[in-house]
Amino acid sequence: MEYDENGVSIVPFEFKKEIFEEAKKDFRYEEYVRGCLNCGVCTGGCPPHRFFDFSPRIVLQKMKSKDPELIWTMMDEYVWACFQCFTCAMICPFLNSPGGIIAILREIAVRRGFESAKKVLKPYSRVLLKLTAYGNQLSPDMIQPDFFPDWGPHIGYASTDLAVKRKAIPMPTLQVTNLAWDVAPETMKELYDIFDEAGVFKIIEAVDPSLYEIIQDIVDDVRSS
Amino acid sequence: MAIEINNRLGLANVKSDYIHVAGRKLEDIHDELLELEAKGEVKVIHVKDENKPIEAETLFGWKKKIPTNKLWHHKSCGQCGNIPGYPVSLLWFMNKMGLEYVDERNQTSCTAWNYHGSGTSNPVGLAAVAVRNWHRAYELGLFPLFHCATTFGDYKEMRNLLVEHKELRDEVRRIMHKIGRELVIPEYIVHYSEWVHVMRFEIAKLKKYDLSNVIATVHPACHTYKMIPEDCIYDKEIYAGKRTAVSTGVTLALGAQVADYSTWYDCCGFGFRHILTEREASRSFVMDRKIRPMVREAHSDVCITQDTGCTTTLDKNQWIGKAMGYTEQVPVMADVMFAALACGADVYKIVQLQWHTTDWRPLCEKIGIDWKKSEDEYNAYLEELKAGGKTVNLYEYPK
Amino acid sequence: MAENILVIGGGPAGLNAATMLSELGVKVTLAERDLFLGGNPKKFKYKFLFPDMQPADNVVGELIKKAETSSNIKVYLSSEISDFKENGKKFDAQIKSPDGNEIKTFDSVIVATGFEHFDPARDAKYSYQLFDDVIDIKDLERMMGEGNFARPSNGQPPKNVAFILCVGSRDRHVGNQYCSRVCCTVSVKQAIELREHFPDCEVYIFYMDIRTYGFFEDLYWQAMEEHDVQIVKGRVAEITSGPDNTVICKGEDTLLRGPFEIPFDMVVLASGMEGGPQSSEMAKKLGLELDEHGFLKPQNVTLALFKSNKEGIFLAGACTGPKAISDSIIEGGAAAMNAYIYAVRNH
Repeated sequence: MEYDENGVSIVPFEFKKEIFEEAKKDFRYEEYVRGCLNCGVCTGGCPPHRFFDFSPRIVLQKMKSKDPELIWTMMDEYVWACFQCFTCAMICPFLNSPGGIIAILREIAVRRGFESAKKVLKPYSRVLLKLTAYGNQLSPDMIQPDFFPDWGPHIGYASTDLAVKRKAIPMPTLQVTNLAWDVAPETMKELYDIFDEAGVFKIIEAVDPSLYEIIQDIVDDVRSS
Repeated sequence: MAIEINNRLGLANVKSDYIHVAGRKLEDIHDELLELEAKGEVKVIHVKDENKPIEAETLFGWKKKIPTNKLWHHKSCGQCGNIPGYPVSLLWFMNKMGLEYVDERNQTSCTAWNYHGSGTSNPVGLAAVAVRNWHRAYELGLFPLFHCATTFGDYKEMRNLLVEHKELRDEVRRIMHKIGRELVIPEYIVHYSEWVHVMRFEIAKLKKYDLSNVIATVHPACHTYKMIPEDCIYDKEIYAGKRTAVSTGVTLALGAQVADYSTWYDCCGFGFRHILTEREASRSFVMDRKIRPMVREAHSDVCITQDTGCTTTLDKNQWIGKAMGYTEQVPVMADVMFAALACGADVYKIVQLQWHTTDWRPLCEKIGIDWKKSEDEYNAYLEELKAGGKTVNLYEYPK
Repeated sequence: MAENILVIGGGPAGLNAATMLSELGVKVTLAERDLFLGGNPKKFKYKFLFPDMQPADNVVGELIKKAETSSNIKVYLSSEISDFKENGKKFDAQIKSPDGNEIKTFDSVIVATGFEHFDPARDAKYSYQLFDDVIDIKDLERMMGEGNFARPSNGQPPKNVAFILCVGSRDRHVGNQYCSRVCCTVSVKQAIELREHFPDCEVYIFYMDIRTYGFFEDLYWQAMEEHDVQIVKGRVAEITSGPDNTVICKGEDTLLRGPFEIPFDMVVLASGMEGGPQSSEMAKKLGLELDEHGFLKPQNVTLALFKSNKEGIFLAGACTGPKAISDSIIEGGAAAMNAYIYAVRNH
């Protein structure tokens, strides 16, 4: 790795070009990137634009520029600002999908284990673990004051007698505390096979190697059960 | 001010004779899917007579058959852990109407919340998970009903990608064979709110309370009407056919007033990743862009939602608004929960509002619901369960 | 014996074609579907025409007067071509009108069936029909023509008005990728008229590009320099309920302000032009080709805009694409000359 006088790493142009080529190779790319006349409806309707330095019009314009340097400027925190609400895709008169482009760029960032992606996803690892290892995303025992202090004192409701409160829900699938619903081990095994085949586990290994190890332990346990 | 409120209240009831045009390259995916089926490329989960379908119109006037019976519940991984009254209210209505369904352990998350939050998947992974779950409904002879808006949006997208891209079909078929399943695609991707919408007049027949003094604001979920917008229900009797009719339709059918507000089109601020790891963005969005306009402009008594993420985000982030001096508060619940309340479902045991953060008691009092009685009964019920009592379930696993 | 020529459509193009042919001594049959002559300018009561603000009634009125007073022109109002056959190099057409059915043989035919205003109700995002105070340029033109311009919701004069350009044009969502050519100039013209009529009313125009081509540009500069019309680069993304009974236009000012949300008393949508159902009807009945935009397809867009794919059938005016009234009138003349030459040769 090369560094400039401030000790900041210099990313070679060839690498930036490679990233752009990788984005273009995605089978959805042609559908997501069409023409753009800077009408601004995407950004006008974009929710995060009001809170972040993020503009779907700029995303589209940078892709249209075909300039790897410009596209590279989005590969850090920038792509992570998008809310993925697809307001932009719904209203673009050209039928571009800036939100779709963001999804492609994020996939590249995690697949290649970019530092920015690692940093952004670090606090997210608990959720990623739940999803990948159990086929669920948010469980009742995660909704606790230590994880969500800003959600107010009532969040503590789930801290006491959680098991019995869940048991009182009149749906057998929901009477668990460590999962949103009780997923059968056979079902989890099918999910693991899909993750293996689709390369999802590999992606997680690239972006969070230690999390990957924890997940693999659980996967091995379930598989051998 | 009086004129303003009046105007906002009337808007949802404006009728028109709209015909929207589908100008873009929108071959009806449904027809293409049936062509693939005829060629033996895919199997299709059809809406059959036994599903007692009711027809609805989508954005461009396509007819969409919404199955109302013999359904397979595809639960939401955010909803079940956090807003349990959401699926319970739905099952409660189905029981009341004597409809058949299965709710079981053999279902995974659609994994799309994770994908849109973290990018740690890909189209093959998403499509394979979708087809796995679809196939489970198929082998039970049931039609899948998706509870979550992100599942709905993602599955619409995956269906389109699968229909349009042979390579993706081949890859997913290969993976399905590995896990002993087949490539199947439902004829229609159906969201629970669409079920509620087509059943709204049946639901209204069960109404126990007068809601005419309740002012509701509706927050439609981005992933229901912005993702694959052509496959979402519109109705010329509701918002002149200019805005999606789901949720607003049932609220009006129940006799509540629906008020418009300036940020109707805005998302909730969930952001998929932001709600978990960048919550200052979510909470600012909730208060500035949704809750305050709903309360200040529309004097809303309740915010009606149609998705897991929106319900969570809008409900949980009001308390912290006080730190900014924001005093506006409005209880948040899904259309089906609001409908269940109106139809006399128990506030605690069925609608499960006890898990919600923003105070919903004033709403109950306005409707005339004795929530205190429910609370006492519920607490007694918890004591029974603690002492080893058995849950009174709405549903039991098939033997 | 004189030549017989059928002109279908009594708007500016058809009227001028009929009049010029009549002056050459041709017997003209003019078939018009409406109860009156004059086409869309008459139907929607256009008030003043750009670029020089001539009263539309003077322009269209003169064309109508010439056609009505010519002894060579037989006008059929509320009529349609109920049957059409080729007969050697000639054409047999049945004209169905309130007076009955008439079959005549023609030496040549001019199709001048015009356009339809894009109905903004067909594009959900503009909330037309939902908000009373969201209207379009043809509504505004009619209101000004009738002299009763006020906010539809309460009858009061507006404090501010927004024009939104490219409604139903340059938008793949509604299938119209083309530019409708005149809506920019019409909007700028109307903005000036509004400012003259209500000097206290603020007027905004939201645009992606302003296409006041040629000398029409004078109006654009005039709007800005003499009438203080606010011209903002950014298409409107959403229209929602605003405070005090207003409608909010939300979008991105891509050059200056960034995201904006401005409440307006009225919003005027610059609806574009479409081939309308009459274009496909003509294509079917007369064996003509439609282009990918839904207008009638000329044989050659540069060399022979007035010729159809069928020998002996000619095209004039907005049936071949969006255009200004002046262009339609010119094309009426060009089609008349070509229809005459064909008729004389085969008579």
